[in-house]
Parts: sequence; structure tokens; C-alpha cells
Amino acid sequence: MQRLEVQAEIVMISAYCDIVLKILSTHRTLSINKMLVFAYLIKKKKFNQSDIYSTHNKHDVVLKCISQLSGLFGDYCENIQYLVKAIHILVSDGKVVVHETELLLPTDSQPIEYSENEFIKKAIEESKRYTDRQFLKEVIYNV
Amino acid sequence: MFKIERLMMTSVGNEHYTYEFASGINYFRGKNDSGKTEFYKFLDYMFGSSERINEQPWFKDSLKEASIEMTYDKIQYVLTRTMYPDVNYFCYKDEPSEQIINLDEYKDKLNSVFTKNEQLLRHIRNFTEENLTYRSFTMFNFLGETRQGVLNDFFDKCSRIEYSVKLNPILNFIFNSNLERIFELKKELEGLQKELEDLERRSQRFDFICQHINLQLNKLNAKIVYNGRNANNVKEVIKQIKDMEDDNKHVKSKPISELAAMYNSINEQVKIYENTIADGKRMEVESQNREALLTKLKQLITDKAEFQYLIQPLVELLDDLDKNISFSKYIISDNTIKELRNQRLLVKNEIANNDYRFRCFSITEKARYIAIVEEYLGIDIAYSEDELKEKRKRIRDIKEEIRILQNSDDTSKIKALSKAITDK
Repeated sequence: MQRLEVQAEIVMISAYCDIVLKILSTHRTLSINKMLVFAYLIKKKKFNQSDIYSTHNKHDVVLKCISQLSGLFGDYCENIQYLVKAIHILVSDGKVVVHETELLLPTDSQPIEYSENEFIKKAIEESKRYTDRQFLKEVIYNV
Repeated sequence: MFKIERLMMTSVGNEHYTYEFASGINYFRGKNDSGKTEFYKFLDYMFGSSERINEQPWFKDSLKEASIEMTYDKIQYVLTRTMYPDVNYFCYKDEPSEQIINLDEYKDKLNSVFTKNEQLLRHIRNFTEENLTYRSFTMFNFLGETRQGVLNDFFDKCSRIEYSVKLNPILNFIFNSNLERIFELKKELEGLQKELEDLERRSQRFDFICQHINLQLNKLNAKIVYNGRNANNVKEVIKQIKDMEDDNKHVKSKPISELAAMYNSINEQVKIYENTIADGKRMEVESQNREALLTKLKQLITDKAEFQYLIQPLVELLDDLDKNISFSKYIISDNTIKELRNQRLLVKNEIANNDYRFRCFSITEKARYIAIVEEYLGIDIAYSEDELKEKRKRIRDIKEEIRILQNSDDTSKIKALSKAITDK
């Protein structure tokens, strides 16, 4: 049983390592706070039959993106430990650099080829206009 | 020309009292509490009001019956009412009749007397969507002393809800300059509504048939979904099944376990959200969320102090949240959940469809399914969804336009009336 739990944790953490690296490879930089939310959402996407929002959305993209967390807050809190561990591993390994509250890719990192969900991509770009505090407020308030 | 000639009252002891009305305006003068209002209420009773006068102490055991003689368009009528609401008489003056009629008949007769122009009444009915009779218009006749000097709501009868709801539509009708246009629109609306009904029926049939064909196709394990337009493709697939050709082009479908996980995940998300809404404790939810997140973060640091550098900024942010407000819109979340509900349904259907993949059907059963599909395919279910949408939109627009037109006033008419009153 113990072994199974450890294995599950390894799977979770590696999945998140992957997602965090992919997000950073596209966006170069993102705050820890936002990273937690978006990485969780991207992972959760696997459980959705199809995308709820598409890139046709032009207004309130970030809010729409956050609204996908509705009803998932408990699960999100559970997932934070894996996310934090994943980020920590990446930082220890030198794959990601932390500068104040921002996560950055080291300049010498190799770009990763992958196609990101367009809507989330747009939302991440848009979220850069939010301060961390405002963003967290929206997350806490919405879900 | 309308005139009340006289009012004749008969007491229980057969005493008679006759009140003669003069030509032109009649007015009653008297001290407070001398019965002026009671007199005009009694006139209203004579013209069909359903007031229970037999409960009034001054009529009870004293009045037996009362008659009114009136002239309208040179014809003289005699209306008689008794203390019993349903014992009334109506006749021409030169042709007395003893036939007892009930209140409804009495009112019907009066309605026929006062309805000069049925066409106009029909117009009003179309406009107001209310069944108006002469009784509705009596509200304009009663201006009691308490309402004198009052600038709005000065009709006595409008203190009663059955009259006040009719006043607005009638005034709208009188002061409206768009009657023709409204009439046209209403006609168009009626036509459209009929067409819409027809279309909706067709769309229901369409859904029903599609659903049935797809169910049979699932049972046949055919990798095609009928959508109303691909009948030929479906026929092709059916032919292949008949010829026992296996096209080997299996559409990639997710394993059931994955679908089940998806279903559970979405289901839980939707349920938690719905419960939060049902509890209606928005504010509490916010602080609960905050607390949950904070505890989690703190626990992480206690477990492993190394994470401090990642988590501390978040904890600080959480402590600081009160300085911000959320700009979110609840509609967005609701939409998301609605979408998720749809997805839940889709996943559920997909799981159900998969059920048939692992069931064996005999040849006879399969033959039956094929026969059903072929029969349904033969039915013409063409309908245009766009047309339906367009019609719905047009109906909405027309209703909107009618409402605007009905509420728009003919200012010149109002001014003319106002001037006439002021000049008098």
C-alpha cells in the first residue's frame, strides 16, 4: 500500500514537472501563484470530454479560465503539494529559476516542442495583466 | 344619446319612490354621511355591479326591488333588479316582460345595448388581450368626492384591482397612434407562432428519429453517427454490415475506465458547485477556501521547511487578500458548470454506447435493427435549425416592437384632451 502511494505520488509529480516546463517554455515566465492554478487546470483537462471554452472567447478570458476551477477547490488544495514538490525538484535540478515570486526558465534551456491548449495559452498571457493578489482573490472567490 | 329617465324603488311594504333625472348633468348635494356615494353605488348596482346590497343594513328588509328607465339611441329600456343578485328583469319599455334572468344574462343584455361598434370592441380586445365589456368602462363614470383634486389614480373604481389592471391597457389604446401597425404585427406574430409550432414538432421528430437510428447503429456496432444529413453514408455502412464486410477502420474510442473516471470527475465538480450555490453561503465559502488553502500551505512548510521559499510569498498574499475585491461575474461560473453538465451527459451517453460493444446479438436481432434503421432513414425529417432560430428571433423582436408601440403615446391626442379640459 505504502509503495502504491509513493508510486502514485511519483506519477503526479512527474506529470506536473512536465506541465510546468511546458508552460514555461511557451511563456518564459509566470508567478508561482498563477503557475499552480494553470498547471492544475491543464492536468485536469484530461478529465474533460472536450474544452469548455475556445479561443473564440475574447472577454474575461482569465475569469472564464478560473471559473473552470468551480467545485474543484478541495481537489486543487490537495494537488498543491505535488505541484510544489514538482517545482522544487525542477528548481533543485536547475531547470527552473525562482526570482522573487516569479518562475523563470534559465536562458540556456532547450525549447520543448509541444502544442498547448490555445485557450489556456491566451488566458496565461492575459493573466499577466493581473497582480498576484488580484488573481488569488479571483481564484478564492470563484470556486 | 344616453339618458337615465327615472329610478323607481319599491319597498317591502310596496311603497314606491321615484327619482326623476333631469336632462344634462345631474348632481347630488348633501351633508357628510347623507348617502351621496351610496346613491351612486346604487346606480352602479343597477347597471350590473355585483355588489351585495342585501348585506347593507339600509337596504336589508326595506328595499324589495328597483327599476331604472333609460333611453339609449331613442330606444327605451326598463332594467329591474331585486335584492337577490340573480333575480333581474330586462325589457323594452313598450314591451314589458316578466322573465327572470340571472346577473350574467343581465350584464350580457346591457353589453349588447351599450356596444355600438363591435369592430371597435374587437380591436380593443386584440390590443389589450383582455375581455372588456361595458362594465370595464364604467370606471370612467365614477369620480367620487374623495378623489377631487387628485392628479392621478382618480377613478374611484380603480382602487379595485379588477379595474385598475384594465385601466392601463385601455388608456394605451385610446392614446395610441400605432394601432394599424400593431394590428399588422399581431397578425404576423400569430402566423409566425403557428409556423414555429410546426417547426418545433418537426425538430422533435427529428431528434426522436436520430436518436432511434443511432441506438440501432450502436447495437450494430457501426462506427457512424447519424445526424440527419448523412443518410447515404449510413446506408453505405448498413450495406457493409449486410455484406459482412469488416472495414477494420475502428474509430478510436476511449476505454470505459477512462470514461468512467471522466464522468466521476465532472460529476463531482458539478455537484460541489451546485451544493455551494444551494447553500447560498458565498461569503463563507470564500473564507473557507482561504482557510483550506492556508492550512495546506502551512502543512507543507511544516512537513518540509525547504519549500519555504516557494510557499511563503503565497501565504503572505493570502493574508493580504482583504484589500482586493473580486471582479468576477457569477454568470461565467454558471456557464462553465452548464457546459460541464452537458459534458457529463455526453460522457454518460458515450459510456452507455459502449455497453453494446460487449453484447452479443443474434443474426435475427441484427436483421431487425437493420430493418428499423432502413425504415427510419426513409422518413423525411428535413428541417432547418436556422429557420427555427430565425423565427424565434423574429417573434421576440415583434413582441418587443409591439410592447414599445403599445406604450408609446400619441402626444397630440393627449395635449388636445388636456386643452379641452382646461378650456372647459
